[in-house]
Amino acid sequence: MKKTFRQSMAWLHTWTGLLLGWVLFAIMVTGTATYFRHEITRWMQPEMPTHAPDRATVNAGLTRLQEIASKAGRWGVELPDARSGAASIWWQEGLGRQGFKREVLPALDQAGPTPQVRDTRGGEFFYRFHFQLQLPHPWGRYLAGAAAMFMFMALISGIVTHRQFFKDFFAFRPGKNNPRTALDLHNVTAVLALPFYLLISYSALVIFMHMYLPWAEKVLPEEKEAGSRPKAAQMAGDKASSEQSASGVPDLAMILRLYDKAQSQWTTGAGPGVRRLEISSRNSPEATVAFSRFDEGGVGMQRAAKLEFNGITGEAVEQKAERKGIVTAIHSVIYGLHLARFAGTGLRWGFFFMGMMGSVLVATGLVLWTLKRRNRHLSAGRVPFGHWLVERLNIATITGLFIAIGTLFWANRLLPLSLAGRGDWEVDCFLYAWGFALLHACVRPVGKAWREQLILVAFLFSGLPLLDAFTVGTYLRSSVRAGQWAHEAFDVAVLVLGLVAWTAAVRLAGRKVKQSGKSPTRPTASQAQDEPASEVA
Amino acid sequence: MNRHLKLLERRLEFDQIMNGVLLTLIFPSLACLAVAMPVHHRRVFGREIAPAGRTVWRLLGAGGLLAALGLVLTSRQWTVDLVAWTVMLAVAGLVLTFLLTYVPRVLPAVGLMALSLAPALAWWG
Repeated sequence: MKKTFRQSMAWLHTWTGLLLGWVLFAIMVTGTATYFRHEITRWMQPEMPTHAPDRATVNAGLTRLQEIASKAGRWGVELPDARSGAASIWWQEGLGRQGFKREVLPALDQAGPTPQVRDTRGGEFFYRFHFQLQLPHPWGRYLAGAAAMFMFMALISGIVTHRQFFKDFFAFRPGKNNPRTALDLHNVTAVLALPFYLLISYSALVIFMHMYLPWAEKVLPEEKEAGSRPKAAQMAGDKASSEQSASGVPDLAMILRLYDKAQSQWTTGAGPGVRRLEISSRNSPEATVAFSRFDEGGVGMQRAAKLEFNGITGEAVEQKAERKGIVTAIHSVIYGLHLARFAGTGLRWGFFFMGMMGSVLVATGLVLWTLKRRNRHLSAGRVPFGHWLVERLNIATITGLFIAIGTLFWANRLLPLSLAGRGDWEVDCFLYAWGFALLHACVRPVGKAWREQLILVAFLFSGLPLLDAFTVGTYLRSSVRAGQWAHEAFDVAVLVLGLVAWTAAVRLAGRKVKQSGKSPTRPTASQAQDEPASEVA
Repeated sequence: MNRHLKLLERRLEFDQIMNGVLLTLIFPSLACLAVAMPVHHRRVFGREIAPAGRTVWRLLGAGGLLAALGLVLTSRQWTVDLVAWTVMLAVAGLVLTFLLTYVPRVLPAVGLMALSLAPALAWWG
């Protein structure tokens, strides 16, 4: 095998990085977008009204529920936080998922018919894709888990392999036609956000721990039973009793009184107030009204604080105090760190930048694999199929993914609002565009394929603000007036991404010219000497 | 706008200020650590670094990072701010790397400007 520890680590780094690198890149990019998933949803649904998380909204929600779902066994009202903007209501009639319905509450201060909110997956698409990859149920998560495991291995072996980077800290040497530049970029992005990468890959594994290591639950069956709630039985009870006692329905005035009580109890300590209220077993004497609170800050994922009342008498129901072990606490912190729900705007942008750095890290790693081998193959006179495949997949993944994302956003603005299954159509556009990118990468020469796809990315992304202004300009203006900058921030962000793609395309063109001046068959011994021996994997 | 929203906004504002203070402390500290390295020192100041200078720059840089860390640990929501500290380390490092690459000469000015912003931000908050 390999002679030294570092050599074997270099081997491990090369191949773990390559094997699932393409999947990892897609996961990284969509995960980075997920940091702004509510903002993306708002951009993709500009018709969405905004509500304040207050009594008037609760009142409107309950009134609406009374109108459209007076028979339903369960009701809920979800109040918006500063990021999501709109309140929604949901209700459940009968058993199972079919009976569950949700709708966005119409704007409160607006008279007349409210505009139709377009059907889209919004930011949820990126969130879901991030760990399910549009694959059938367990497989997407397994693949994502494998990618996380490989990333973790690539990180550890990478630290050993690229020890050099401590000497080259903060060093970036831009140059043309030089793998050194890609290597510097690889090192810089790796070392500066290393704790982030270690955390994000490890916590990804911890989050789906129960899926990847299911045996613990088989050994400890009683643990699982204690955790699950007898939901089905509870709801079946609803159904049975719904006919006999219609008189026991909690009335709206009392629910509002209870809301005031919960709200004042929570906000007196300068904390956040009620986020959602849920009324269950509405048609039975066991009706309850429960309130849960907004996140109280702090890194860990916490179960939101809850207050529960008897739905008929309005008396408070005693809450069982949950005992949390140290393991649960650690799990909640690791989980919370991955989701970063605690992050305010500034920190969120910080995470976003680190996510971008991670994407650059993976992309440069993939490109380096080909750059290091390219000259060797060119001087040998023939390019093996494996190398050809990696080069094409790199293009199709790195620029192809951005083409697909750009297409998704364009489809969101251009598909007719009345189209049936519009949200699914958007996703189809995303997938078709990606397929097209793969096809294009396979039939064009490598350099040209990179350039053309980069130009397409630049066009799609920098064109978005313009498209946005033309298609939903009125919403754009009203959001500016309301002082909500998420919409504009999205436009600026995609514009910047588009400009980066332009710059990359232009630089690549310059590089191409220089390269063609040289004889492609000349072995680049000088370059090989530049690099530390260990880097040539 | 009700009281609850105001409180929420107040909390978000507080976060922003903490992030700002951290960034303006961490950036100059990392810059000190960078100019303690002979390669970067040459590019920034145009002359070789003295051995004593290396120690001084290093101490300044490490001191600044530790000061920011101390600020974090005394904060009311130190868990979130500890995360912010590492995030800002990465962001400042990336900015620093590109400054060192393209405009190394302006680094001292940018560093001093950031450093002078830190107390201003803290006072304003």
